[in-house]
Amino acid sequence: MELLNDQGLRLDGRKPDELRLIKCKLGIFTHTDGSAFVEQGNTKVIAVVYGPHEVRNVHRAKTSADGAFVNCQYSMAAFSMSERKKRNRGDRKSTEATIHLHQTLAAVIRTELMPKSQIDVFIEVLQSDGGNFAASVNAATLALIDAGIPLREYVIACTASLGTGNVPMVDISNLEESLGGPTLTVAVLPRSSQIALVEMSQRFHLDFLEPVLKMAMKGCDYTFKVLDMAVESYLSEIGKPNNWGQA
Amino acid sequence: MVRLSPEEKIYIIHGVEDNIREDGRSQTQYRPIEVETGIIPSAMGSARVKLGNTDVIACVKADTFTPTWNKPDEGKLQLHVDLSATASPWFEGRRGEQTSEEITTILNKAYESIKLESFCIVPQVKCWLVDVDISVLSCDGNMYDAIGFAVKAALATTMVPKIVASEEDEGEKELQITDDPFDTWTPNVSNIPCLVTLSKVGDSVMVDATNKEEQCSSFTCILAVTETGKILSTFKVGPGSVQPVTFSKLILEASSIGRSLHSELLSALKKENGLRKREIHGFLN
Repeated sequence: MELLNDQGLRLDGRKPDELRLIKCKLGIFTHTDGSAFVEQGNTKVIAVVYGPHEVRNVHRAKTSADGAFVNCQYSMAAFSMSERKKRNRGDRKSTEATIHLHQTLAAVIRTELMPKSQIDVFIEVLQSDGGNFAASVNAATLALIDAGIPLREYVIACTASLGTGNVPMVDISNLEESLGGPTLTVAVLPRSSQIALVEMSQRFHLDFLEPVLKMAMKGCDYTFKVLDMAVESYLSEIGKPNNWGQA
Repeated sequence: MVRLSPEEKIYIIHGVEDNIREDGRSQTQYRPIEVETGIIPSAMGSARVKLGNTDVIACVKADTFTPTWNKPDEGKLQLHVDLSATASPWFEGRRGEQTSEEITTILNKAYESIKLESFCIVPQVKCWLVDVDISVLSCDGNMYDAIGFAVKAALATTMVPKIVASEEDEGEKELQITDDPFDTWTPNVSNIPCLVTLSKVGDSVMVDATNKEEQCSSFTCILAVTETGKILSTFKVGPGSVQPVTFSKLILEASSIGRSLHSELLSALKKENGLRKREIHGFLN
């Protein structure tokens, strides 16, 4: 199977620079400090934020006077993939994603404002169809915003790959991932266009790194616009009824 | 979880005894129940149940297995519960896994006595092993009832591809999955129970306790009730004890509550099935 057909379209009919449909919602749960749901194509992710609160006993050793401790957990539901998953978390893939998530979020959270405290970010992947980590980062950003945790700016992640004829493609689906193309995941701070995380599987020639990276960052920019719109409409929805907290 | 002071507990207990609870419900009134089936399209069947702020997803996947000699024509129904850290930070990491395993064991016992002849393909050769994965995403009390609802709703909308046993070939039957993706069967769910949790507070009994109310309860037991009102199993969670007389009263009450829950759920599923074109909303509405 070719990643791009003669007309230059991908397996699911998208153009190389076309993202899957993004839908998101903030504040899906009431018992948490912040929560968000993000759907990118068939990838569906829930992110939940607790905190900032006192460091829990289990993490006592990680208390720091310099800043808050960001505690992440990436977990995939047993039904998220076509095959039943026996272990939801703690396997190598999830542990890796947890570490990456921690690195990405630590780049944007203003931890120095909250010394000796802890912020929990929990991710649950409900359905996996490629770009799970990217969707998790986006969901985590929205949940952090919902929780009102001070951020430097948004952090947005997106994937890109190299298709037939060395054409860069954005937002890789599970099928494209499993067909063996390389997958580059980047997390960027869109306003200052800085890179918070780059992660790549497989190899391609160095010459293509720049166009693929550019494609992924373009995808991030677009995702940022969608998420920003969602945040704006959510805030106006919850802020307007009480006149933005003013009497 | 919110810890309650003794005064708050007294307030809640008095409320229940006066038949008007904190949120205005009566003792036998459930919070609004939302059921949506088919929310995980990659599974054979799935359902999300929202019971107040308790949020549960159940997802069905079927596989085949060779039955044991003592039950040659019975399939298997296995439940697996996962308490997600999204429900409470308490469920993070290993601790969550331990609690999940405990609840999984309890639930499988409750469903153990169901006869599953309809899950048989060829006696002594192959039967269906139906795995139901349950994810608890948010928990504000009464998790078991929500799980019971979700399991039944997911099974009722499950579509399993048909397997046909062809002519015997040298003494062994050949099993084949049909090529037609629409050639499926749906399990008969008439014997799948609903779980009814009854909590005793002071001298009165209530259903569908919230997290706060659960903390005030002196005795909590869960009963698996069938559509006809029969009790399949009972188990109790947490501390506390009751007189045998009270327990028989509880069983009678659970039986009638269970029957009405079943009829509500079945009519809701029928209504949903009747919708010609249905969009899956999930968490987006």
